[in-house]
Amino acid sequence: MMHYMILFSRQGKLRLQKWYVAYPDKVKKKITRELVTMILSRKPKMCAFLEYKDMKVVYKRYASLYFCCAIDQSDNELLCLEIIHRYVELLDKYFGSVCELDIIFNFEKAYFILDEFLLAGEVQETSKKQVLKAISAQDLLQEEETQQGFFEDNGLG
Amino acid sequence: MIRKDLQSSNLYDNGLALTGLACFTTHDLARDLVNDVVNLLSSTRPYVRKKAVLVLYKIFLKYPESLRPTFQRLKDKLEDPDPGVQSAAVNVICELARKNPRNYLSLAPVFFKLMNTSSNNWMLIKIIKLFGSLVPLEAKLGKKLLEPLTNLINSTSAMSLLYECINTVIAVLISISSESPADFTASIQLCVQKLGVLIEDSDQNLKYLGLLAMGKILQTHPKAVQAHKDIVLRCLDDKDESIRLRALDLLYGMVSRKNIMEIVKKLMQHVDAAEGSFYRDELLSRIIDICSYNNYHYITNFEWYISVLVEMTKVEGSKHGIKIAEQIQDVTVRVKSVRHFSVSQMSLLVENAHLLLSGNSAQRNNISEVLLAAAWICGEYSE
Repeated sequence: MMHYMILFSRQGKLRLQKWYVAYPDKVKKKITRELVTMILSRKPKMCAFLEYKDMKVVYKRYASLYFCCAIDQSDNELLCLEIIHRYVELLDKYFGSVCELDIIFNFEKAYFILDEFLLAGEVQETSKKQVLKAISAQDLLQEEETQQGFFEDNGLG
Repeated sequence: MIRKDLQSSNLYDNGLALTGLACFTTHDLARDLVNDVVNLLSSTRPYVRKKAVLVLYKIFLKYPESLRPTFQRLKDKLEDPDPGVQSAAVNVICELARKNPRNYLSLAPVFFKLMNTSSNNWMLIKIIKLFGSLVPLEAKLGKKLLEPLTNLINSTSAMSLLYECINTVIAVLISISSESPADFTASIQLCVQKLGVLIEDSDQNLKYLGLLAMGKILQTHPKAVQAHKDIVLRCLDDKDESIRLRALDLLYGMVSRKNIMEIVKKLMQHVDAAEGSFYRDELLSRIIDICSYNNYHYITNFEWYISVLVEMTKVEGSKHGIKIAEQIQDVTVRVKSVRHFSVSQMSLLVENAHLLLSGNSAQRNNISEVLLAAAWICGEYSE
């Protein structure tokens, strides 16, 4: 089971964080800080698996973003790499050639896609088509419910 | 509020409520809402059924009493026509079984059928992992599994599936090795061969995993890994520290009388070049463990060993003063012929004590342990 997934840039700025196990805020901040320092200090050719506390941490770098997941000791690390890759493929399909800016400006969509793909730390849907179909249906619902006119009436433009 | 969303007819409302529930469910929430979630298990839309199954896992974690009554419904989902729901049910049962395998032994035939009919790699990996946790309980299951697993190992091109199969085969072999070790040499050889391929791969990740799995085999079948001695020794020189640490684990099975001096020399070179003190300490303790393994089985030249120990004393920042001291004492007491040499080395150490004690206090503690042993030896055995 995945315990948490965090995304951060080469400068150590946190872009996304999803926690599948409840930790108090202070603990979350500590974990994030420690993992970011540990991973940023690793050289490019080193292997992608780390031991951290009593969990395995798997990370992968895509362009300027590091995708980092913590899994149980008995989980398959290669499978976790596949999960990360599948998530990146989903983002790519949805945003069309995704880059870090897309995630920065549309982070809620990134979270929605993650929620459709993983639930409670487990893979929910392995078919890319199904995930993207659900997201586009939700987008449609969102557009129908909030018309632009509604915002303009209330002065939000 | 959550209940209203769960009972809504809009499937995305249901989906959102279930997703949210998965993140923040607590004991009380779980108790109150489990019935609603179970009702959603029979929803007409697979989208909702899938989410309901996964949320049930979280609910079981927080509120274990709900497991008994809902278990039957969960089992039914294994036969669900939609592959997404089926694989979600497999996921949940696999995770539950890891905590408490005994309850799920009866489901083994169902999973066996699923394993043979499914081509979905994600699900296969979970099923194989599930079998891995069931095997220690039921020896017959292990034997029955070996054949389909070896078929999978030979036929799959997916590295992750291969790795999972090898791990499970190792678990099977460990649990049944007590009964009849001779029968399974073929499977062990196959695993070791595949792991050898992994270790030679240029991808660091595969190397790491290959070494990790070989380490597990080493504990029950040390002879099987002998064939890959050279590869492992090469890994000791790898630039990546994690890989070097794993290769160190495997060294126990690789040393022999002839190569121990070479290996220790190489390790001492690493000690000098090591950047982090954690790694250095690991190296030192491994050197001592290897040399003293099996009653100094591999050491032919004890004088050489004493000089190695003296060199280790001079290494900065080490935490193993006590161990080194014990070793020196042990060897000197047991091996009569080396006492003369040992006394001369120890007297050198004691003469230069003021140089050695000039470091910081942690270092001084270590060095003083060794000096204690040195002084004792000089006192006992000098003529």
